[in-house]
Amino acid sequence: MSRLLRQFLGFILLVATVGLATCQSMVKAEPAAGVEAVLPAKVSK
Amino acid sequence: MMTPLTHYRKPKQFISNKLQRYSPRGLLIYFLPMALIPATIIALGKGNLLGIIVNASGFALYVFAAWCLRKGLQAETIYAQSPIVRAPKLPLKKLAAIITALATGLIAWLGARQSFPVALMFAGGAFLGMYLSYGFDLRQEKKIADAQGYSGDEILRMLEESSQIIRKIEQANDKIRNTELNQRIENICAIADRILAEIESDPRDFRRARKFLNVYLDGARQVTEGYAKTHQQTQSGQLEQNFRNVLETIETVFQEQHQKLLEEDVFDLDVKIEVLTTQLKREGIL
Repeated sequence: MSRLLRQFLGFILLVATVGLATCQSMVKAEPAAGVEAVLPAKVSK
Repeated sequence: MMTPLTHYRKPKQFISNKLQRYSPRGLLIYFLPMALIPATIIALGKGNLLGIIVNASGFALYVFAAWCLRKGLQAETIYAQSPIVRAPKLPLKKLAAIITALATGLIAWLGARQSFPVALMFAGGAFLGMYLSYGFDLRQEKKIADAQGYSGDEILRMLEESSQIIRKIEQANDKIRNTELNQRIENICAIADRILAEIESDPRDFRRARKFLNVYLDGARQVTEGYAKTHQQTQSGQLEQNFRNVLETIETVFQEQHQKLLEEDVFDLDVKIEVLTTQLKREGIL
């Protein structure tokens, strides 16, 4: 595997894993959003 | 009248340090976790204690990993450039990969609330990504062949010490505010570096150059450090002239030593070394 391809693959992996995990963490940092999503379901029951 | 630019000293060491410091390699790990800053602020605003701890500690881990990675990359550059530097003691790049994987797994599990096996896959992906992007540290020691009764390790150690002495001379030179003397000292350092490279490429030269490494190089360091210290306190024309004379002698002898190594002449420079030592004592420097 050429060095450039290897570095490119590494870059994609890093962006995918670190980027995704941190962005998801930011989205889920707000517990209220999760509660709101759950509450209507409970109310409808 | 303005001094022409060519008369100013070229800050060689400074430029090479800056290049290493400002190389963009490894900065990705500083930028990728930026989302954790708003994540921590949001968690703080909502009073989500676990969110605050996970996001803030995750960000701190990433920053530490990025710092380790950049230090590891710098050490690798120095190792690759210099023929007489041992491999870095700490595997900094591997450490950075482990910390990045740990932080990613932690963020994915507790921050992004993925299941534990999925968080492990995130961690594995980040570790693999670090390895593919930056590789791991070079652990291979540079070997120098044994020569003339000296072991390769002994020669390498002596060369390392000599290289450090040259760097000390360069540091002392930075404190001297005289373009002409600066230029002379730079020349001396450049010749000394060439002599070390010569010995490294052919360790058989080590015996002949041993006295040079022991006596001359250290003499040059003492002289330069001594002058750098005293000339800041007293501006004496006589002292400057003495220092200039000594530098001239050192430069000549260094050039001769280098020439002898190139010519593979068996003639030893002991006599000339005695002459220089006497001169250093006469000038009141040793």
